[in-house]
Order: sequence, then C-alpha cells, then structure tokens
Amino acid sequence: MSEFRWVGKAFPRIDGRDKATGVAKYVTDRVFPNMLWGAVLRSRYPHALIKGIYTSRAEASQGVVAVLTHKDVPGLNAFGIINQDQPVLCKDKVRYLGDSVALVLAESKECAYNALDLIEVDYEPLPVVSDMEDALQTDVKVHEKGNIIEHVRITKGDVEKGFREADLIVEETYYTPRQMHTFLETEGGVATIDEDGNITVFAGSQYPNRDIIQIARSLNYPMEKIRVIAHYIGGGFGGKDEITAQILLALGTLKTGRPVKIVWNREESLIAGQKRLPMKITLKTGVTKDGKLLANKARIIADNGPYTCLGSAIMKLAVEHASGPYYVPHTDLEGFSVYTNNCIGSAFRGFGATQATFAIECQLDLISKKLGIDPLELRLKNALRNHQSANLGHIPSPSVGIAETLETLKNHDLWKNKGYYLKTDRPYLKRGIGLACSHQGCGLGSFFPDYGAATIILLPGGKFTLKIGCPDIGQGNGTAFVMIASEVLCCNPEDIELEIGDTRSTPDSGSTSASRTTYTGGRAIIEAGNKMKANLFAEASRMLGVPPDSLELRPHCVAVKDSDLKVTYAEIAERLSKENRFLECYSRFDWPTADLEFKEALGLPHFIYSYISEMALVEVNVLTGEVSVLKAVVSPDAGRIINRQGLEGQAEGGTVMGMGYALMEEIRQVDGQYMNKDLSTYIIPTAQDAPEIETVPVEKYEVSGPFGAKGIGEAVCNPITPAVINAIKNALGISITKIPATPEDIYFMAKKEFDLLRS
Amino acid sequence: MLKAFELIRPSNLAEALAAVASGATPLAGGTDLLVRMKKGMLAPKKIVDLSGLKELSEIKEDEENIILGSLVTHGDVVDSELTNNYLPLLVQGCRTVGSPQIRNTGTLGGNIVNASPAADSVPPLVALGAKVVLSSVNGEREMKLQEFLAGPGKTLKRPDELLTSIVVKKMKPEERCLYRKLGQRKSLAISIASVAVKFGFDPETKKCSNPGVAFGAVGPVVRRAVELERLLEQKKLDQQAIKEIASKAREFCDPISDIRASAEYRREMCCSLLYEALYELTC
Repeated sequence: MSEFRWVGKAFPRIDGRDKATGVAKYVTDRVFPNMLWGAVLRSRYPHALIKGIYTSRAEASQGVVAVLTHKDVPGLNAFGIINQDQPVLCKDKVRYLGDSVALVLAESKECAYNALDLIEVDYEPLPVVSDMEDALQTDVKVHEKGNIIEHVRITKGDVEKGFREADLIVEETYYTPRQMHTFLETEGGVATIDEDGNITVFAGSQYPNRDIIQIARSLNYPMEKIRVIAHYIGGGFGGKDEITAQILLALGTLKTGRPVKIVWNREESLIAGQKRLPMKITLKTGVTKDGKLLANKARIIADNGPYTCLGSAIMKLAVEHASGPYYVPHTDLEGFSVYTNNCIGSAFRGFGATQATFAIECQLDLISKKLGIDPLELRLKNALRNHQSANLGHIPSPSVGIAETLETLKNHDLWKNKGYYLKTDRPYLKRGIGLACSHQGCGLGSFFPDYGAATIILLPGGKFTLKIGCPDIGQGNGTAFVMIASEVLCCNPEDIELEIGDTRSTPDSGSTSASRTTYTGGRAIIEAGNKMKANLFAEASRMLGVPPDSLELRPHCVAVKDSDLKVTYAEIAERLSKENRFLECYSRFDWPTADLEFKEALGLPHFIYSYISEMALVEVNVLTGEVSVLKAVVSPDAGRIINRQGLEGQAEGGTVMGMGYALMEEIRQVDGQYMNKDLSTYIIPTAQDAPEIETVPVEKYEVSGPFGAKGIGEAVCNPITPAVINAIKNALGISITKIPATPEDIYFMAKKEFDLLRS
Repeated sequence: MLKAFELIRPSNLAEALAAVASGATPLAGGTDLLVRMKKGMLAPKKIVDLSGLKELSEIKEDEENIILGSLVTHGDVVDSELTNNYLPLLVQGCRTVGSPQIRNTGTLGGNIVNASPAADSVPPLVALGAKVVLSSVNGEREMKLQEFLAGPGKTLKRPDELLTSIVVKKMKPEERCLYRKLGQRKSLAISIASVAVKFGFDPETKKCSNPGVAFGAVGPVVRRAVELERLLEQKKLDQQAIKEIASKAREFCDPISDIRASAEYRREMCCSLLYEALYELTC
C-alpha cells in the first residue's frame, strides 16, 4: 500500500467540471456594467518612423469615448521583464506589424474597431530587418543600441582538444520555426477602477505580482492601488508571461473612470502576440568510434523580433541545453539573440530547450547512423549520471533520471519488437521509429530570486483555505496544490478551498512558468502545512491534556497515537473561535541553486532538471509526403508524481504540441509581413492527427522537491519533435534539418528514393 | 465584425425566390458567407435565410437518380441510407469536409455555389456526372454541374436564381469508388489536392467500365478528366498500366501556388493521389 493518501494517485482536476460545463468564467468572459471596449491600432509597417498621429476623426466617431496615444501614458512608456524596450503606445517609431500605436475606447466593440480606420498616422517606412543573420551585419538598426540584445559564450574543458581526440566529427545546421501558443483564450482582460482610484485588472497573466510592477511603472501609479486577478485563464504556455494587454487595460480604466475590456482577436493574437522564437543552431560534435561524446560546439542565433521580452533568457537556455542530457567533457557554446522586425519572440513551453533539443537529438541520430551504433545505445552510453558535470560544468541535483527513462523505452514492446511495428501492407507506406531525449532546467536558474509562498487558514467546520499566488493557467497546478495540502493536512481535497492568482488575497508565489510551479508552490504548501500541523497538535494537546508528541493526524482529526482519543479539526476550530482566535500559517520557500554562477550569463545554470525520453512510430506515405504519427511512448522523469492524471495530461498535450512543431506549425514571415494570419492557414494538429500516447514515468526522487517532485510542464514538449523527425529519417533514409517538415518538403526529399510512379 | 443587414425569413420557396429576385443574398449554412462578412470581405444589405425551407432539405430517390435538396448538409449525406447505398463516393467526399460542426451546418448547395476549387463535395459530384437545378420566379432550369462551375468563386447562377437541388445518377452496386483528399492535416483541412474516382471493375479481366475521374484544388474549376477516363477504359488495369495512367494526371491540371502548397507539388499530387486510388481500387 502507498504511504500516501493522495500523492501519486490519478485525481480529477478540481476545475474540470466548471470548465467543461462553461460555469468557469475566463478573465475575458467577464462583463461589468457601463463597460467600454478597447481596440488597439496596430502598425501599418514592420519598420517605420512615426511622423504624426491624428485622432480627431476617430474621437468624433460614433460611440467613441477616448482615443489614447503615447501622450496619454503618464509614466514610463516602455515595459519588459528584462529590458524595458517595448513601448506601451508607440511614439516615434514602429518596429513590427503588431506594435500598438493607439487605443480606442468606445461604447461597443463595433464602435471601437470601426474607429481604428479613422485614425491617421504619418509613417516614413524604413528598411526591414527580417533575417537573423542579416541582423548581425546590417547597418539598419531596430533599436539605437544595435541589433544584438545579448551574446553569451560558455566553455567547459577544451573543445579543440576534444575534437583532436575524436574519431568522428559531425557538423550540421538546424532551423526551427516561429510557433504560436494557440491558447483557447486569446490575450486580454477587463479592468475596473473604484471611487478611491483602486484599479483591478482581470487579465490572462502568468505572474500577476510582476504585472503590478510593470503597470505601476507605466502609469506612474502606486502599486498598492493596483490589483491583478489571473483566474480563470484559458491557457498560457509562456505566451502570457510578459505583459500583453494589462497596461493598456489599466490605462484605459484610469483615463475614463469606466470598466474597460480588451480582447485580442485571433488575428491580433497571431500578429502581435509573443511566439516561440526561431533559431538557427549550428552544432559541431566530436565522438569516439565507440560512440562516446567528447566535444560539442554550438553557435545559436535567435530571432527575437523587435523587443526583448524574455527572448534573451530563452537564447541562454538554448545554450545551456545545447549538448542535451549527456556527459560531454568539452563544450563551447555560444548564443546571440538579435532584434528583427519580425513577430516578437518570447516564452513558449520549453523556453529554448525545445529548439536545442531538436538540434542535438538530430545530431545524435546522425552520429548513430555514421558510426552504425544503435541510437538508443548511443544515448544510453552518454546519458548524464548523478554527480557528473553537466553542459555548463556544474553538478546538477542528484535526481538525474535520463538513463532510467531510456531503459524504460528499451524495455518497451515498441522498441523490442520494432520489426513487427515497422511492417506495412502497402508499397507506398513506409514506417519508421525514432527516439529522442531531453531535459529541462526547472525554476529561474542562478542569480534570480526564486521563491514560493503559501498561506493556510483553518476554517470553521474544520476545512481549510489555501492561498497561493502562481495562477493555474490551465495545466492543473491548482489541483496538485490541493492534493499536496490534503496530504499534509490529512483531509480530503474537497476540504481545501483554493484561492489562487490574486495579488490582493494570495501571497506572491512567483510566476507560473519555468517548470517551477508545482515544485515551488508544493514546497511552500508543505512548509505552511507543517506549521498548521504543529499548531493543530498544540491545540489538541491542550484540549486532550496529552503532550503534543503523543499525537498524530488521522483523517480530519488529531488523535492520540495507539488510542481512540481524538479531537476533530472542526472541534479545534470551534474552540479557537470561542477563544477569539484563529489559525493562519504562512510559509515561504526559496529554491536551492547550483554550485556555479555566470556573471556574463545571468540565470545560468539551473540546478534541478526534469528528464525525458520519447519514441515515436510514424508512417509516411511516399506518394504524398504525409506523415501519420501512429504511436508515441513517453517516459518522463518528473521526480515523484503528485497527480498521475495531471502528468499524463501534460505528457499527451506536450506530445501533440511538439508534433505540430515538427510537422506543420509555423508563422511564415517575409520582410516582416505575415504569410499566414489565421487558424485556417496556421495549422495545428487536431485530435485526428494525435497518435496513441502511452506515458511510462520514471520517478527519480528529488530530495528538495515536494514529496520528491520536480517540474515537468515544459520537458514534455521537447523530445517528440526530434523523435518524429528521426522516425521519418528512419523510414525514408533522408536528411531533415529544418522544421516543420511538411508533406511537400518530405515528398520532394523522398522522391529520389521512392518514385513509385517511375520505377 | 458583422455589419448590420436586413434579414428575410421566407416560409416557402416562392417567398425565398421573390427575396432573391429583389437582390437578397441567400444564406444557407453560413459557413462561408458569415466568415466573409465577419472579415469584411462582403457586406450584403439584405439576406434571405433559407434554413427554414424543409422542401430543400430532403434526400429523395426516383428510379434512376438520387435528388438532393440544396440545403442538405454534409452531415446529412454522411448519415443517409440513400446516399450510402447509391452514392458512396459522395459520402466519402462529404465525410472529409471540415469538422463535425461544419459538416452539420454547411450545405451541399452552399459548397457548390461557393465554387471553391477545393470544395470536397464537388469532385465526387462531377465524377458522377451530377446535374444542378436552378430556380427563379420565372421558372426552373437544369444543367450539368461541370458546366455550371465557371471559375474560382464563379458559377452560371444568375443573381435572381437559387440552386434548389442536385440530381445524381445512382451508382451501381458493383461500381468501386474512392475519394482521396490531401490536406495539411487529417481533419479541419482545406484540400491541397484531391481526386474522386469511380468505375465498374472486373477483377478477372482487370477491365473497367463507366469510369469517372475528377480532381479538386488543382485548377480553377473541378472538371472530369475525360482523357484519363478513356485510358482507364482502354487498358487492362495491371500495376504497369495504373502507373502509366497516373503519371499522365499531371497534364490534366492547372494548379496555382498558395500558402498551402506549390503548383509543382499539386501537379505531382494529381499523379500520386490517382495512383493511390487506382491501387486501392484494383489491387
């Protein structure tokens, strides 16, 4: 029998019913009396100077209450988590088609959008920086300081020595696309202001406490008069980590004194929203003839678009993950993030590790092919082990489960009986199996303060309120939090009332990002729960007249060990109430950090990683280049599993998302213009495209984690992309270095080999 | 965003025809019209909502034909016993349209009149030699669907006419058929290229009879590939023959390049899809 009542079980989501039935209101569903609609005028050019903005015709338009421009921004007309380089409303320059030039506030959505056409803007178009390599060379500057946002280079050992000792050196360049989060709920929200000037912003946000800092700075407004509520949110995946509409919402309500709603339509979300940034990754890898990795040299360029957002941090994570979850004695890893006039690149599930994983895992398959070594054995031979130095020379927390995840795949029927699965009954169908590994740094990394906090309150009747800041953006951390609290407090999840994602009522618990939420929040809850437990013991000890160390928790009560004598939580709450007291316990938890820090690359390295291996069975129609992913087997190491059902949901969702990245998803841009602008041309997988997905977890206990857990929300997105690509290569014997690999690409690559009509 | 318009809800066909004659834009399932209106590509002042017209929503049969009302949805075609028994090729085509929601809303008449070269119900109907019936306050006329389609977004329908029904000869039980669609994904996809093939086939002699072949999304309009049909009838359909015939398919298309695919890929896909269909129907 499990030592746990809840942890590790499959538990249905606490918000599942409300979301499925539509009872749950997303932030953009909220409606207030007397509410105005806001519409944003976007730039007409990808790169231009603004010579004048004329709003009088729009202001006179029917239903329009106000038209706001840069002149109306009371504080710093710029925002950004890393660099404040993005204007709230552009003043003298636009740098991409999604730039905000003016905000119309009107009585209805129709009036607001109609008035956009009446705003006149004089532009002087500038040459467009659209290629990331060009960005490094050109005289055209997206920002005055130049086009390089950040450049890092981190070395370990002596990479040239590694290459000298290598029997084989493989060099290849890989290209990854601009991917959209495609959340159900686009960016937006509603803001209100009361008579005392208190502003409340309901917004799709992954870190409401940080939003307050950015709103206050731009509005020149006291932080304590701003409240951000981020609940419920229809998906984030990183795309709501940086500011989207929050500042404009607050500005709108401040200027008009009325509630203001802004909801980006899907096209706006595609054009103006943040995306997974494209990278060009060149790898040079040296290996012995028996397959031991000796050296890896990487040069990474990331197309960050016009503003930093979180892009430079993402480039650094690509550098950190560029040699994969392997022991490589000599590395030389370099990265650039550059400004262009393309769409903004920022956080997206995987945060740079995704791009790096695609490159290194394709590279390993190339090595496997050249050396004639089984791709799984090659990876197993090089898999990082506990106490070995990782990519950047640091020693990660000893919960390194990559070898175990590979062993899991090795023992799976799909791998053991490959021959059976690879058979097809049509001459034009070819099957292949591919696999890949990945890892993902959990938390914000070195240097940055990274903490979680939670409050637990005993309620009359013996239930508890659990308050925690980091929002549930749809991935289910709220459910995990409730399970963890129920475990510590020995009660049922129904007895925990969760309050989440509200800067007024919940403690700052950091961002919902970086595979950090369950780990951080979970630890804070356990600490707060243990305090609550000690308090309950003290009260029970007094009420029962026994020493606290003779007590234990049983469901909903404190009992004397080896005895029937007990007092329920309800009785304790009643007693406290009579004595005019109550129990509230708060605790903060700070992350452990690595034994190394890079002053020239803040944030690197991470200390705790999740690990994952995945394999895919694909069937390619060589007549058309169509790829069907038939089966995926994913083995994640997320430490101890909190919610089995939650883990499977993440593994399945991540697999489909990563599969879309491999095969179809891309925002195509030419000279800063968008070739596809809506969901009929930006293609994501449907349920019909999804393979059968089997999740076989490895639970490598993380000693610092809540009950031994680590984060997993991002890693699940990483290995499937190269696994699918490697499977296609396995099926056809072709080389693929650029994703998405569309049917048309695959058809023409395969045609030389398989021209059935001419053979 | 939708602009304001006048909505006419007729209670019978005569009222609907009168509304159309007065310049109202017909609204059937709305899966194309409303999208264009929301995007601002169209802004009709008057719309006649046909959805209440029961007489246009039926699937009927006579001795030789299946008669489909123009308001029959793709979902109706997929579910109907008559179409499953007598027009399996059309059922296959309709099954690939959009998603369940779109199939349950979008109509056959709308799919035809919209005149997209990528409409998935059209290649099966053209391959089957379907006719369309056009009605107006002045009467009724009938013409071959293939002739009715005049170009991308263009048909021979006069502004005062409504497409009221589609008449298709029943397929014979021994006839084989396949609709093969190539999209960017497995559902909710717009065709990159498609082919509808049907013929009678004798497995002994490998000879085929009464063939029908039509390609979708590879030319301005969907047309029967008469020359390929002739070749199919002439040859014994062994492996070599189906390769030869399929290889010729590239000559019978006139594709464009767009965001979904290049013209060259589409041209090659005509050969590939026809080959796959012939392989599946004869091997």
